[in-house]
Amino acid sequence: MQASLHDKKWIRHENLVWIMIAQALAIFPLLLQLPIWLWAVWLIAIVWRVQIHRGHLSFPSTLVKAIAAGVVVTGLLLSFSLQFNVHALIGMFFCAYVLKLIEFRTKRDGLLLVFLGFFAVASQFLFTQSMVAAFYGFITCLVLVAAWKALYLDRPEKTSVKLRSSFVLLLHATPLMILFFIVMPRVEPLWSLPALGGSAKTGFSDEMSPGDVGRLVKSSGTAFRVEFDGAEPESSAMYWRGLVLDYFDGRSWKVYPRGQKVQQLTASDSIGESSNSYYRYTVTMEPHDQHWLFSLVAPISVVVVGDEVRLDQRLFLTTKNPATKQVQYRAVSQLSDSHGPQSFLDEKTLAENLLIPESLNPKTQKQVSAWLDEALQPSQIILRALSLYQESFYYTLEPPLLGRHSIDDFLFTTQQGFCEHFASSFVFMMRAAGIPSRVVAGYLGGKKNPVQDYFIVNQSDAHAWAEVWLEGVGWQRVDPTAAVSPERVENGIADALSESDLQLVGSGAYGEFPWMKSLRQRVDAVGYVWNRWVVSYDRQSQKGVLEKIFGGAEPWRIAMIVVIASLALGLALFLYFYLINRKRPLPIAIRLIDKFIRKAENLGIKRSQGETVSSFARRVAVERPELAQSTLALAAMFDRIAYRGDVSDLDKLRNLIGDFPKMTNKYFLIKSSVNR
Amino acid sequence: MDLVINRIIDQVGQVLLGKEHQVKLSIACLLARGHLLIEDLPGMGKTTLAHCLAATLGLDYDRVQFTSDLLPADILGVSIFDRNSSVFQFHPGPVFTQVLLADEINRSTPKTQSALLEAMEEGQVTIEGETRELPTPFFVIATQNPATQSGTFPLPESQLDRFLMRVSLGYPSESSEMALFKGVDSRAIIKTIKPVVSLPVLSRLQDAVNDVRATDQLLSYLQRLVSATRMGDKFIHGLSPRGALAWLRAAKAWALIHQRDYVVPDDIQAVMPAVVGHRIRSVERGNVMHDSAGQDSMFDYLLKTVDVLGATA
Repeated sequence: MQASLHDKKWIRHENLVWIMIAQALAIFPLLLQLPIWLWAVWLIAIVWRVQIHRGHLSFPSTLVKAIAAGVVVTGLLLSFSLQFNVHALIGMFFCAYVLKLIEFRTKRDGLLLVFLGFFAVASQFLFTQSMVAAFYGFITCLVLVAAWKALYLDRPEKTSVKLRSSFVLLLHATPLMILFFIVMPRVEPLWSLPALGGSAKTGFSDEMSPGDVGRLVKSSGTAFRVEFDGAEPESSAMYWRGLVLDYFDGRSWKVYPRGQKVQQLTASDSIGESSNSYYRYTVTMEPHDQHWLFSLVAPISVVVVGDEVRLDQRLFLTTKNPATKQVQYRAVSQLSDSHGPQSFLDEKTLAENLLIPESLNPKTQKQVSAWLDEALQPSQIILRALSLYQESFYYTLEPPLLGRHSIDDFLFTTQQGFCEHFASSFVFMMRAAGIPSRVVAGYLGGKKNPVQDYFIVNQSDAHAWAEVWLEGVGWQRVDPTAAVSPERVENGIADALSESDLQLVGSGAYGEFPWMKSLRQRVDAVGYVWNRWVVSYDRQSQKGVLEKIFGGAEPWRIAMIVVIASLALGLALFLYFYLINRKRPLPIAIRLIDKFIRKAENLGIKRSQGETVSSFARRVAVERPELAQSTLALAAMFDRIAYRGDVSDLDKLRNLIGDFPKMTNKYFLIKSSVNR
Repeated sequence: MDLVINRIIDQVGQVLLGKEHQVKLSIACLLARGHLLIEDLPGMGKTTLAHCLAATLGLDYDRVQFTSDLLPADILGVSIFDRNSSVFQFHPGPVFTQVLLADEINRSTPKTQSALLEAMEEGQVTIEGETRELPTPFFVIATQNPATQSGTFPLPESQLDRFLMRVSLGYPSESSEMALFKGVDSRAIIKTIKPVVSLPVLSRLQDAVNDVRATDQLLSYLQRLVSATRMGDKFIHGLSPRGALAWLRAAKAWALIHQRDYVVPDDIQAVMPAVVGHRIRSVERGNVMHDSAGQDSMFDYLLKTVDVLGATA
């Protein structure tokens, strides 16, 4: 009887369906990332297998399998132009997994398919680690476990029952999963993941022409999210410095790439805890494929796990690797209005920050030299320039096009522009007046998410402003946009623009209903928490967590604590069930009777489930008269325990059942074992 | 106490040869304060059983032969004007007794049937606006011919429910029949029967049924059996809670007869055909199961689907 169960090693129709559904779920996220012809491979494999099942095709021969493998390998090599990157390897895995379907005939193959399915679930996280992906992965695991279970069932079971039981199984595994998540050593990936093609990232590029920031403001999407630890600045003071643009070619502003002196970053723990003159914050930056980071003035400590941070003299923050995926960094900024050297600017920097193309924008240059003729001080020139903007300038997202002398056109003809027009023209005037200055691009402001106490900075918050160097002060921020449109700085972009312009901002994100906004904030908060605590749980945060929980992060300590904790948990569970069972002897009695029934079945007497213990015992007694006495006695004891609540005989029952087959003589034992 | 029960069984068994199970069931039914319906062909010993039980228990005994022209007053009694005292004098009918044998109950019209059934349920009768208590114990043994016989008014299910048990006696076995041939006329034996219990003892026995223990484990088994009758597509409708309670009471009485103060699953199974058979309808027959073949397969099905050692409560 036992053997016949194992004979059923061939798979049944139901198993095939379950495995196919589970496989489809597991490979779907991979298919989205892989070359499109792999869909065809999958569909062919499915049709092929179904035809085999219906008897129209037979299982493929070795030759056919070899040809199929050859075809897909060649296809993959061509698709990935002979490059073996992660994508190609996943493509290879995908093909192996899918083609396994056509030679799927035994239970063992089914197990292999299920296990490969779990592997596929894991590999989908190479592409995306969002919460949606995690939820999808969970659902896939649910179906995989159900398919796994279906392989072992030899009676039909309702789908809902199967899914429920696999849910319970996964639930049982959850504590272990959480434990592994927390304590497993975090290793850096063995391979570097290539930037995933197809999705153009929004954000600044390393140069800025008129209209660039305006375009950015119109795009939707989030630049980064910030969580402050302690004091938070006013949102009008949140100038998120990104690019420092100090080279002007007459049209666009660029970053001087060449050798800038590197400034020393401070280790974050050496900064006093209680000091009020610092902002501490954690930025979760969306990928923008560039090297720079955003920070408040003046950053003194920035830590990115797994990357090197470089801070140059201009307070231009860069990482070694481009931000191809979400980057999280902890930063500390010193609160100050100005930064950099106060008394003296070195030759090179001075030259760089005064450079303008002589031949361009003659009108502006003339205007500035008129101011210089009045022998105005630098600070007076700044005020004069700002007051120029207050006259008849207009802040708009859709400025008219500018000609070759772009700054002349803007200042004297069109007088309509966006922040980069103001910043760019202002810096040009300052440089013409001999005041070292530069354009800074980044984001201004940020909206607080009330659900999870963090700020969200969108692409629509993109901004450009100026920095001028004044003797005795250092580099100081001047925002010419504030002169023409103070609302932009005070209240954010929404207040500064006209109705029609506002429609353009963030792809129309400002025209939504309140409930939509609240819902969006909630969804954003959930995603933020997920990214902050799950996706970006790296070696650094692991160390922090382990130190907090276990008082240290050394491997021996973790191993010891985990071992001790599991032993303690096991002991506690054992004691719990032991005590529970002592209080409730009935489950013990039933387990003992089960044992007796199994032993009797080994003697060839099978109980049907409708048979009571005493009638079964009578039957045993009739078939094996030499066992009659003990059998009838133990049945009576069981009845007294189970149906009278009289548990005094529990130990006797245990002894009787423990000894049960020994009562028989040797002849019967030998005979029955031969029968089996 | 146990001795008393054994003596009752022995004595009735001497008269009704080879029908020990049915005798025990009828005694259990009586101890559980329920009424008994015996369904069988004429001449199978129904009347003998009723008569013998009454005599053994030392109870008053009366018999009504139901016919199609029997009226309620013929059972319950009538008030007749007494010329001497110029008042209506109530003349109690045969229902005012301790053991009433209602012979061939399905031969009378529903009106008369229900008059009796009301008395069975309430333990009292209301005649001309006056409620009269029936004697205690009040035990009805009704017999009926199988409904397939002509000239019968089958009892509706709601009235069948009033009977705790329905048993059929069946033909005697070979040896019993031989003994029957050789023996003395059973009517003569009944006349010589002496009561083995007194009324107080009987009522103590009936009280003892309530004290029989049923553990959660047992109740869970009963409950699973009951819900098995309600689920699935084998039955048109399942057992009512009243039916389930009746089942438990019968099992307790059965346990008492077997000298146990606790119910075991075997008791539940033993009384099942008698208690459940007339209370549920199987789909296959489309009617309350009348023939024993259909019943047996139904009970087999029920017992096989429910695990005796199933989940504990």
